[in-house]
Parts: sequence; C-alpha cells; structure tokens
Amino acid sequence: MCDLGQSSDWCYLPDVALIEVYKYLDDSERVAAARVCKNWLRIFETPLLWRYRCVSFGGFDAMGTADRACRYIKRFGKHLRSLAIRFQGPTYRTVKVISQATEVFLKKLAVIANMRLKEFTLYHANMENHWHFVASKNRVVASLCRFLRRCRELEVLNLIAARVTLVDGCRILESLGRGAASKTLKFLYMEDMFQTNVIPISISRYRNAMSKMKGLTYIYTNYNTVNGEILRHFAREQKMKTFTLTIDCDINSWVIEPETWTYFKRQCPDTKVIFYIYASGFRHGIQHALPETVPIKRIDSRCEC
Amino acid sequence: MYKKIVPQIKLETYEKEVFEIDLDIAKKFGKLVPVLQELLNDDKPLTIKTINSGTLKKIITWCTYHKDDPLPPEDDDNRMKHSTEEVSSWDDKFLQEDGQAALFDLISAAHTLDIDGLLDVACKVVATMIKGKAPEEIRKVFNIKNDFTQQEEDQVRKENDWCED
Repeated sequence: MCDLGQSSDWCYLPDVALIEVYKYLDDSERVAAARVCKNWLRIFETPLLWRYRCVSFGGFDAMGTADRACRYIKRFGKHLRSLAIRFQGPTYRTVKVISQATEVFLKKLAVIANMRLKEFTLYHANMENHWHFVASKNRVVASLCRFLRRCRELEVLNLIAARVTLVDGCRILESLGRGAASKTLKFLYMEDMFQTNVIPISISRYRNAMSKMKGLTYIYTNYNTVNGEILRHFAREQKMKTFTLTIDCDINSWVIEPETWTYFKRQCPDTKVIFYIYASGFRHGIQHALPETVPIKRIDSRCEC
Repeated sequence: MYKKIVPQIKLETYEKEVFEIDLDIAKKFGKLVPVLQELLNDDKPLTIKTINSGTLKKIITWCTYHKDDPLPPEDDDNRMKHSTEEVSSWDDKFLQEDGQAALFDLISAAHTLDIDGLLDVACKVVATMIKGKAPEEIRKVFNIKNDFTQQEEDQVRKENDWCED
C-alpha cells in the first residue's frame, strides 16, 4: 500500500496493477520492465502472464524463431496453457527450413516435464496446398504426431483448414488416441482438416481413430470430415453433448441422408446439432438436408455480401 | 415539486475530510458496493485512510464522467488483452495532468476501491510510458532505485535472452 507520508514508490505498485501493466507490454518490453527492480521482476514471473503463445514460422529465419521459442519454452513452458503454431506462406525455398524449425520446436515442447498445455491450434496450415515437398510435409506431420501423443492434459485441438491428406490426418488422429488425449480431449475443431472433400476408401481407419477419443463432447466439422456413415458411427459410439456440423452447401452431393439424421436422433436424443448453412449455390433447398423427423429448435438467418 | 432523494454514501479520507457520494456513482466501486449499501443508513462515514482528499476528488470526477459506461465484458485472463484499444483523450489527459505521484495515488486508490475501469485505463497509460524504453530509462521515468547487483542484473538478462532478435 502507498504510504502517504512519502513520495510514491512505483517499485511497489499494487500487484494487481503491475500485472495489468505487463499485459499491455510485448515480450521485449516485459523483459525491459523486469530488469527495472526486484519487485517488477517478481511480477514478471506471474504465471497468468504466460498462458498464451503464438509461434509463427516463416522465411529463412525460421530456425532463429525456433531457437528463441525453445528458450522461451524452457523459461515459461510450465505456465503455458494455450499454444498456436502458424506457418507464414512457405515457398519452394523456405519450406524445408520451416519444417525443420517446426520439428525442433515441437520436440522441445514434448520434453518439457511439467507441460500442462490445454489448447493447441495449428493455424490454417493448408498442408496440401502450400507445402511443396513430401519430405518437409512428412517431417511436420510426424513431429506433430509425436508431440500430440505426449500431451497429457490437452482439451482443445484446433486443426481447422489443416488440409492434410487423409492418411496424414488419420496419423494425427491416431496419435491422439494413443496418448492421454484419448481421455482428456473434449473439443475437436476439424473443419477442412482434410484436403479432399471426398472421403475415400480408408474410411475405417478414420472411424477407428475417432472412436479412440472417449472424452469428446464437442466436434466442429463440415462435410469435409463427416459423412452419413461416420455420423452413424458417432451415434453408436460417442456420447456427445454438442455436435456442431458446418454445412458448406456448395458440396451438394455430400448432404447426409435424412435416414441418417433420424437414426442419429434416436441414438443420441440429447445431442445438439448446429448447422451453419451457407446458402450460396444452394440447389436443393433446406428440406433436402433436414428430415421432418428431426425437430428444429431455432433458425437464425443472416445475409452477408 | 417532488425532488428525488439520491441515496448518498460517506467516505472519510486520510485528511479526515468527509465526502458525500451519490450511490449511482459509487456503484463503480466493485466489491465495495455491498459494504457501502449496508452503511447507507448509518450516519458514520467509511474511513479509508490510504486515500487522500485530492485523489478521492479525482476518483469522483472520473466515476461521474464514466457513470453511464456499459459494463466491460467478462475478460478471459488466459489471453492477452487487446492492447490496440486506445485510451480516450479525456482519460489520457485526466490521468496525466497532475503528474506521476498523482497517477500512482490514483492507481492505488482504484485498487483499494476496486474500480476496474479506472485501474484498467490507468495501467494502460503506465504501459505506454514503459513501451520502447530501456530499463535505465524506465527507472528514471518512475524514479525507481535499481536494487539488483550487477551479477543479478546479468542473470536476469541471460535468462530472458529468448526475446532478443
């Protein structure tokens, strides 16, 4: 508390206020503030300030980024709860170094003993569209798998627009199933996780991988990762509270048959399904997607140009 | 004509000066509100020794100006705050016009009285005063004594070299 007799002592600003101040500073500014005095250094180490991290790999200096990110993890990794990895437009020239940097960083993450990561986001990786070399792609997917298998408390995984091949996608999902995430993972965001809209032959592999995750309560997906057969499988195996399905209506041929929904409704009466229907190029009308046997609670409509 | 009686609370400052504050202004005082409401019928003021009259006057001015602000949305502490949101020019001028000692007192008082909005905006102003400065410059701005030994300072720098480019 301030002693009114003396001049104000900024070194001893109330902890709450000093934490607030730190929140508005970026990394290098935080370090500069930490070097001011012992009390400011003490507040600098507040776990709350180090919960969230986004690491961007891009350009030729990706290794430098990885090196700094690793040292950061060594220092504050134990406080980290939410991590995002982002690739900045890998090109023919940089894709190799970016994949190596990612591998180095993910390896480091996996060996932090007291890592308690709850949330992981691979930000719009677009693997099959932007990554030109198979070796680099494999390196990223393999290190991602190793890392995910070692996550002990992961609850949220965001792979939106990862656009990996079906095989790679299955590898990633299987690695989750082999680790603690099979029990801890609750939220899975997998819209456009696969590169292809056609879910091909190796469907049982995908189905098996999904059924290993027993803790799932929420899936955010679209027709890219789900079809009638998988939905029936979910209905049998999983007890989901909420199931969010994004329908991209440009893919008219993948509309799930009404019978599947009827079956789903019977198996999981408490499950909530949310549709986001983009009406551009919508040929068949809404009744094509939604059977009469399944009750609709609410429809919100919005017009965007 | 009928005049609405606005309920008022009484606060006594460090200098033993008593201030009467309308309850709808005092509703900014977060956790203190229930306490103050209980004291409404009491004639005795609530003494807050750590706040001086000048600061309380400023606090009342701020609360009056921001009386009708909407409540801030629930904050997810895991995330970084959006530091892009700028401090309004009124707030900026209000917080800086009396110099640093006054700003420090305001932050302490905002903390004591649990006025989130004021604490928030004041900390933002402090952060802008820190931004882009070296440790020695920051010490100078806030008149802070360096209590590290050379060894300790090197240690802190070494531990945190991860953010240097």
